[in-house]
Amino acid sequence: MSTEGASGSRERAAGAAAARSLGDYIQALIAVLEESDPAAHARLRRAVDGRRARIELGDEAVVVGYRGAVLEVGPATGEEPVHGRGSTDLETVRDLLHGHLEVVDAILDGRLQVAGDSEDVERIFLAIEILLDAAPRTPQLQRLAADLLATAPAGPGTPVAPRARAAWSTAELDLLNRLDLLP
Amino acid sequence: MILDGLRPPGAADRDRELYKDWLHLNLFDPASGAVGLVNVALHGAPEDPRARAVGTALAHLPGEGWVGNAEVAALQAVDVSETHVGLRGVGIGLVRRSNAVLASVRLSEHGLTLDLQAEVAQRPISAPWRLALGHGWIAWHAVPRLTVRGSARVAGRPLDLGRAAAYHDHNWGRWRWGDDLGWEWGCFLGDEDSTIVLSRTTDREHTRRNAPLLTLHHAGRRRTFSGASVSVDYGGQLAAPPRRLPGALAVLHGDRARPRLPAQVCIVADDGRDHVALTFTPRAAAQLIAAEVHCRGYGFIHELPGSFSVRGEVAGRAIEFGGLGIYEHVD
Repeated sequence: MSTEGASGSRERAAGAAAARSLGDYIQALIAVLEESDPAAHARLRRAVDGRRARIELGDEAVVVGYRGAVLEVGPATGEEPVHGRGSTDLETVRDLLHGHLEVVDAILDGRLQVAGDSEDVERIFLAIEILLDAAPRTPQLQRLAADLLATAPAGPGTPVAPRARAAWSTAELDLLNRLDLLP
Repeated sequence: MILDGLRPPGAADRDRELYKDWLHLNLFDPASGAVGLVNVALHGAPEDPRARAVGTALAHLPGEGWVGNAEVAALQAVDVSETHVGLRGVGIGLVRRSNAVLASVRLSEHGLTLDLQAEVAQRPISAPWRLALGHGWIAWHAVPRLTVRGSARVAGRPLDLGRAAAYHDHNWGRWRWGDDLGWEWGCFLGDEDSTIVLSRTTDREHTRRNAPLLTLHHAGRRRTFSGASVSVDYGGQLAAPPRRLPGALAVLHGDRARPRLPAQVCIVADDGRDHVALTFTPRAAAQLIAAEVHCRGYGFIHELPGSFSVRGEVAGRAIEFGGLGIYEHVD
């Protein structure tokens, strides 16, 4: 597995967006967070400390995790042990960032999949939350989001209708409904 | 003063990091039923690299729903003067010599393009004094009604703006999003010159409500009601899920995806001499999430477009009219 420290990606954060791979993008996000909001970065590192996750965006996949204070991002082969997995595509990220899709609908529609033990899943979502919470106070993160959206195909321009949820069993839907977890 | 200008903080302002300033325009088109809003807002001390500018342009068209979006940029990367704010796709400018508000929206990928020139048609409501808002304050200057010229393309459909009218305001102050604050505001434009504007500040739960102000323009006259002479009551719960923006903050605040918003707003103003009773029925909601830039903190601005009817008696004459309106609930 080839790896690279966050400091190495700092220079690339300012580089051309068009050439950025998923791994580059994650490195850039974390490098910007570390530089602009060290406290948020420290919280994020504590949240995922000692864990590795596989992240998929479309047909790209990487494995991420901290080794000490250094973020390591490497290509995923499918064989490496991980604590959790997150998978989506660029169209879903576009629809979420344009406010055309709610997270709960993305999950129920199968457009955003997160798998792992409950604590590992919670920590994946906590890491995402820390990044999103820092974004309003970090113009560089806003620019990275704009860069990513610039590479996405044009969207519908209107809120996305929920897809058929036939893949969910009646028992699962009943359980979610009983727990008041359905939108 | 007919049109106000932006009011950036002075060098000695100790609360400059809480600086907020925005220009706002609502469009009401009775022919299509469209209700639109264009807003350019500045948050944070201008010299702070974290300070943001947010341009929001939305329109709700019956049968189509919401179109438009919000655009976020670093304040220092935005074209700003005392009389205009221009982002890449959303801008508002004030032309004082002709008492006109110019609004431009280029969000064709989100179904909304506007080029509007709105000219002042009713004298302004000015409240340049500081109204308490949380631990800070807000001030505002509004033009209840403007005539509209220009072009609008909503959901791929050009609108004939021949009967359209607009509302404009400028708000500024020093408050902290996420503080214990809120407000209720509405503007309701009937045919001809009939206009009602309501406003009051509240706490976040809307249980502590400060004195409201209601201004009625009708048949060339203006009446103002305030304090205990005005009551505002909510009824029911709006079923429509809100359009939530900016998307990244909507993702962060998934717990706010189903806010409790009214299905009806009843406003009564009665000072013992004149009285009006307004019933407003929202048909949709948008939730605009505002973020503090120097610390954590979020505010939720809910915009409810819809229709209204008014009955009452002013100066011994019965009045009755209706039209399009928008109601804002902030928490």
